[in-house]
Amino acid sequence: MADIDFQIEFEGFNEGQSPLSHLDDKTFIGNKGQASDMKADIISNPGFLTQSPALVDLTNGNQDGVVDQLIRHILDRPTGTDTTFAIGTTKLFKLSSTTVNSGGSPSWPQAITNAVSGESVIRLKANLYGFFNRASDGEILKMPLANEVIDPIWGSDTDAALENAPHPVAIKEDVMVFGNGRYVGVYVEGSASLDVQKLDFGEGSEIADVVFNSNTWLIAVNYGEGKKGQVYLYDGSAISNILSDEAGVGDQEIGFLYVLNGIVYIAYHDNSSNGFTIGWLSGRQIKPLRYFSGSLPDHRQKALYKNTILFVSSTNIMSAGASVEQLKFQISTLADGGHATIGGIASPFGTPLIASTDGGSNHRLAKFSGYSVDSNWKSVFVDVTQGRLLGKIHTIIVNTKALVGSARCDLKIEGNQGVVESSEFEISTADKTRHVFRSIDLKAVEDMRLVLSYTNGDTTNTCPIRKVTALGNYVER
Amino acid sequence: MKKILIIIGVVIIIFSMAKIKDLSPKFKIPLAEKELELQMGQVPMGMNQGGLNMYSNKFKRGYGDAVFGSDENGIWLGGAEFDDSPFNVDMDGALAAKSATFKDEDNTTIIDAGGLVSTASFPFDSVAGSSTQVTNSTSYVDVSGLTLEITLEREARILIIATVRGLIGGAPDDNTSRFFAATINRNGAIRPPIVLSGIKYGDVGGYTTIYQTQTTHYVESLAAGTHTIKLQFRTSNGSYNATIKRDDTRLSYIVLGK
Repeated sequence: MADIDFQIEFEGFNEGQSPLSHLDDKTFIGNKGQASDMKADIISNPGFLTQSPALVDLTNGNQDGVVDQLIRHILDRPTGTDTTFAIGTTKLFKLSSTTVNSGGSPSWPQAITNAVSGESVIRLKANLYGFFNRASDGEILKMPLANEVIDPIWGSDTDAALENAPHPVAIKEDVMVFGNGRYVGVYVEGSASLDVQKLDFGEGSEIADVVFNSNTWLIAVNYGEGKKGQVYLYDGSAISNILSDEAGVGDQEIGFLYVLNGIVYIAYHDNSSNGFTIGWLSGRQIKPLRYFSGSLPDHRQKALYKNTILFVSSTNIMSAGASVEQLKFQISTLADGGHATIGGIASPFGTPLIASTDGGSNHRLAKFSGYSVDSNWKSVFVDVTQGRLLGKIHTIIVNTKALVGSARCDLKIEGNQGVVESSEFEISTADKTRHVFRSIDLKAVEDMRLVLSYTNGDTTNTCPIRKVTALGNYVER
Repeated sequence: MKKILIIIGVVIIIFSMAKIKDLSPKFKIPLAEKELELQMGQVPMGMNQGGLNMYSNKFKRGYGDAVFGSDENGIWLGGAEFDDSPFNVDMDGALAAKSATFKDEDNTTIIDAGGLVSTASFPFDSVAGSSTQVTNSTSYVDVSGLTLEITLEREARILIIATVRGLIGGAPDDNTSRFFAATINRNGAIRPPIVLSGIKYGDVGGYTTIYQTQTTHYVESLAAGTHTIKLQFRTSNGSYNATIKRDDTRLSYIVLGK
């Protein structure tokens, strides 16, 4: 019998999750760098697997500070040096890259009269506009950035109250286009004209998101409780009452639109299946790219991070895209989102900010900082049989960057669809780059997968893994 | 020979035993730059090239109000949309334009933002004489100096106007019937109406001889070419002179449209 009958390599971790991981977390379908299940960072240094980023609350960024409610939307760009704003259920927050403002004049955070659910904030020229729902309708607040005094009924004073609905908003020059239930509203600052019902998509429709790209507004509309989605083009001047073009997603619900490098990405959901999809607007077709499980993110839950789209799925933060175009488009679960319910996410200062709540008295606004030990990576399963022979893994070789300090990752092998597994092997030791583990205590199996866990990892120094090689023999059982 | 075959066989067996099978999972995935490429022949949702936007129901070129466009309303220029544009033509052919300049074949502006340029659109000429002229002819004679030539490049409608000041001679209490007559002669043809002038029935009875002024005009279509119009006058009675005061007499024409 030969010393080695087969080898299995796992590398190229920048490829993210397997194409079918949203349907089966023990799938056999995938590439050597793809995971059947994961929560790890594969975009910060593509090719290496590293720990998920940890979350650290901003100063005053929880219930012990001034964040005493879920922050539902964070303005994804600064309004001044190290300054931006966010809207919670009933309050408007001012924040920097490190701190949620407290006190001052006017005193932050500011309560918004009659607000029950903040929807979005945006800066248009010298003013901040906030969209929120009241008990039975919606409203737009206006706040000059110069004096930060809120006019909580600016919208109804200027035109009319809004629908009680999601209010995605986008701007271009002096034009602001926003969703208002079945309507699209338009505000043109140059002419001081507000029309909260500029376009009417009809009974049973709801605007899911609005973005501006290539001199055109793109409006995502869901019909019939998310049973049908449509993307419309609307002329850039936002003067006409007529739409320019449209593309149908089909019988699926749209979560958000996101423009990155001139490409319009769409998150959507097929109600009849378990997965969610990230696709892109390719001609008049919505072309699916990658799938994910969890939940459908909405217009408040998208951001840019390391040239990929960061978005919320259930309790996790996910990434979709390629760090550079010459790599493959990936989708991966990057990190935990904090408390069980995630609100808005944004990266106005580069580092993502994530708001969450436990649904009770605990709330937080946190940012990525350091490394999380809630991080792992599991390969796709690999069939290791040959005829009536089973595979016996006897050696594992791990290639890492030169480890620093207490950096550590634990490795084990699962077999027979996870029914059996080996002991854990510790990948550690400063300056070491090649880690060889012999005598793997896993019996001969039909299939195997690699499991890497950072549960015992370090929060300061990560253990970046470049490649794992499993060596084995065929044995008769 | 047998030995060689055995050796080869052993080598093959050893080689095949030593070959390590690669079980690494494989799944072909294109690079992002390929996967996010618009397929050949695929029609984009709306066509955008710089400020050029082409949609299934709209075409626009330009930004802001500097736009040329067309949609179901018609075509327009100079506005973000049809309704606020300074120039548009609707589907019924109705044109709305804030300004326009029309030029003739000589590059002369005949219509501009202020409307018709009258000096260019309505060619005209006018002539007056000097001193007086007397005749006792009962046939029409030319009034010296009151002749005009009209050159038309195409058939046109012409307004011709003559103002005549004259008198018929004789003693005031001479009750002999007599009158002064003038007419416009165009290309040899005497045009009615005749202008009567110069005699007056006085308050105490009888005629008085005073200068009187009358004006006549007519409109007619003239063919392309050169036309001569002139003023003529005569007396009705050769015993009585007809006098025309040319300083106060004028012959004019205006072409109604170029």
